Amino acid sequence: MYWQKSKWWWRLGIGLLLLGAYIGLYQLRLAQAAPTSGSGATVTLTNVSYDSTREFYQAYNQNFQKYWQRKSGEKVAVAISNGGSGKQANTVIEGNQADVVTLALAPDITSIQQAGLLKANWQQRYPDNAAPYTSTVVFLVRKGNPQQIRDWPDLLKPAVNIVTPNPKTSGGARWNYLAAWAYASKKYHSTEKARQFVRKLYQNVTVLDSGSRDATTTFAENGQGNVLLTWENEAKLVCQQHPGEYEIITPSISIKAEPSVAVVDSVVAQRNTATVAQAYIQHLYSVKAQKIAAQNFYRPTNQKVAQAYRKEFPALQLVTINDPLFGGWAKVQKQHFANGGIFDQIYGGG
Amino acid sequence: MQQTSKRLIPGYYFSLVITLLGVSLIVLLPFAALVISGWQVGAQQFWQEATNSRVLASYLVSIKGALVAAIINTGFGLLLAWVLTQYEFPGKWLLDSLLDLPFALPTAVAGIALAYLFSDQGWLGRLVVPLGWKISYTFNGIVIAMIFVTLPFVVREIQPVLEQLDFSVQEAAYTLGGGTSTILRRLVLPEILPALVSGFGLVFARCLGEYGSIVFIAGNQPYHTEITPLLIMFKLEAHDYSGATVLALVMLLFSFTFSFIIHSWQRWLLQRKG
Amino acid sequence: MQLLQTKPIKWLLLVLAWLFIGIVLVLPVGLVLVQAFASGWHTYLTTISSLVTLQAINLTVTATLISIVFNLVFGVSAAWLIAFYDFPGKRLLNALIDLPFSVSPVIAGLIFILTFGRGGWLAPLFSAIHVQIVFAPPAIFLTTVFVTFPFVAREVIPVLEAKGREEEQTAALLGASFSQILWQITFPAIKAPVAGGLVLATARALGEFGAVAVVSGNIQGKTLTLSLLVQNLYNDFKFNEAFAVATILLGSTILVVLLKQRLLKN
Repeated sequence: MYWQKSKWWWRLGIGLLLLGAYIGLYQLRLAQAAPTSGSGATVTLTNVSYDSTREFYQAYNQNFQKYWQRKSGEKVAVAISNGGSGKQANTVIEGNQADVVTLALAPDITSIQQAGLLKANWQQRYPDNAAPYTSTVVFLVRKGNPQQIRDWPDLLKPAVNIVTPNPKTSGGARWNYLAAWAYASKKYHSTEKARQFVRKLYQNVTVLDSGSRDATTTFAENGQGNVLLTWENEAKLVCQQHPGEYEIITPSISIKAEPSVAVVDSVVAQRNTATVAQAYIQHLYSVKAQKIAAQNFYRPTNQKVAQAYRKEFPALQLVTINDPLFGGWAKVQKQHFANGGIFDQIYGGG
Repeated sequence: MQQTSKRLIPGYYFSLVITLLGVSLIVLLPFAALVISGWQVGAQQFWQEATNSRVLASYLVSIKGALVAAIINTGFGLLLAWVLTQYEFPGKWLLDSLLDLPFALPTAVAGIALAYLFSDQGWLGRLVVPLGWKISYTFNGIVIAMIFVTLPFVVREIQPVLEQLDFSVQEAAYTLGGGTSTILRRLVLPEILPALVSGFGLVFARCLGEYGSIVFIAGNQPYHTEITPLLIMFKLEAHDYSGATVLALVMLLFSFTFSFIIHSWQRWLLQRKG
Repeated sequence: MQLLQTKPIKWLLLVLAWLFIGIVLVLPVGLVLVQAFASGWHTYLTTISSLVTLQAINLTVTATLISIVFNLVFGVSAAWLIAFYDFPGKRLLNALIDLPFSVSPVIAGLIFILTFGRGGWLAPLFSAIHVQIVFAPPAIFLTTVFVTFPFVAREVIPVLEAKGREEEQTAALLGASFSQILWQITFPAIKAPVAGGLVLATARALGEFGAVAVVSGNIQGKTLTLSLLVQNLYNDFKFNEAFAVATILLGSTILVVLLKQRLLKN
């Protein structure tokens, strides 16, 4: 009896000890994570971003923390949320308290604006259409390029299996689709031919993942398909993760992918974070941040930095979304991606 | 008098209030929101959303996958329950404990691990490639994920029944000349059939709704490997709430009808058994 | 029956059973373990003791504890109500309690967004008092409670119904109070199913993914549960780290399963 009682005490003791150790560890980590010493409360910012920016913003946030503390004496902690661009925009519309949004394409921020959370001129408030860094769409193939893929027409070969995200669900993937469309239109000068071309291309897609990161994983980790149609920065990241296993093929014509950024006016007004949120976006255009972007494989918009990194980013003919071929996002969304639009027509047949 | 004999035990209002509060807050209120927003869609659009060709294909994929998984799991569930209740063997407790893992392993972890395992370079995928089989990123992958997630259901339904089964009757029948198959069919099957049916129903219902593990392994190709819950997720992500609501209501309606059929069947079986 | 007890048949069935379990259960779990330690102990330990992981543990444990308490209170009172009294609408109530079980996790998330999201009908109320529900911890707690809703009630109701009301009625006639009946007569009889239900609820709450994914918003350090963190790390190309975090869930699952067997033995 006595023995059992003492066993019970032992267990409680060990339990409490473990709990104590856990709390201690947690407090230690909290203390370590707090920005460098200094007085004053910490401001928190939430940056709702898309899939392919994780690595970039992890580096940028550290840089911004230092910059902001030096500039204003205020400590700032940035919480980041990653996911498919459209889904992320949606969570902000539904009440996710994002101070800033850094998404894959302008229409996702426009939809937040249409919900009344930010002002209509958001794209004019920062340089370069509020896109501090850009990218383009390239092909990632396995080492040695066994299918001999050089340019867009090679993707139509019967033996080619493409992995790419679904443009209906992944904002990033809309750029992929539009890149193919841009090539075909510039090449054949006919909408009908472009439609045929893109239809054939998507017939070669074996895995149509819902997000761009899912597609990357499917291709690189699980060995599906022989070409991944993806953003340049994503492709470079894969090459960095798996040195020597993959090659990047830059096509002759592609699209200029412009991921947009904005401060969410109604949230920063409510949380009193307008100044720091605006600085967070503005600082993206600084030379330091542009370098971080380039190191994380985004094409910098700052000409000097771009010049310094020009070896990393091959020159190619880049079509923009405002090219007469597309006529801006509003038109493209309606024509290509709306329900029953061109993408549905060419992919709908299954 | 009637009233007092009915509610002799104290605590009626106490338990009534707690139960109703719980049910209303957690179940009724959110579902009311779902039904109301479904109502606002309007009949014509509802019909269109619920029956466009891609959606119809997804119903088929979900139902087919759930059916195959439920059949496989019912078979193996019966086998496992039989082995666990009728035989003594080393490692029995281990087998029994392992069966509980799918209840708790997060579906995302399961999906990631299964996709890895059954992909062309995975431990198991590699073995079946020479046979010309593909598992990950095909319909087979969906079935595997469904099997994993619902593995314990049938076993745990049948186990207690088999444990309580008094085999002396069967033994007697055997000595009186009944063959093994006759005994199984005439004496054992009727006993376990209700549990088997309800296990099948549980597995099927859970498979239809499963999302987390399947998305990682399915390949998610429209018309081929796209399940209905994923379409709901897509619509949510595209901010198409009315579309998501319509699909959710169709799925709910289907699982209600299905569980009603299963319940009635089970009741009928139990009544027949007496 | 002798045929099924013969050695060859027994071994055949055993081999089949183990083969099946081996392929669909042991190998995936083994893979999680192997991958978790593939980049060495150091990576493993740094991952599971990082701030993000600890914050995810806190959130997951809180959500689980809330679900356990809710399940205990609600499950026992629902069973008490259904087993001990007759009232109109009993079958409907039964069906409503079962409902969350057959609902897809995605739908479970959807209904809470429809209720508490910006366009939801309770949104004005909560925004007036400045309480954020969706894409914040409260929504995670709510969905976790929702998906574990029926577990204890489902386990306890049949046991209590099978036991019958006679003992409680006699005790009540003899003048026993509510708490006396509950603690001295009813509770000892339903200890096992209550514990079993709680174990299931705990396991489900720890591992829930789909429903939580819909309402979370994925904010690091704020709304990431352990299973969402696994997915996030996986998406970060940090596969070994993802599986390392998965071992925390795996470990707690094994603890829970052992606890259940312990309870069943007693």
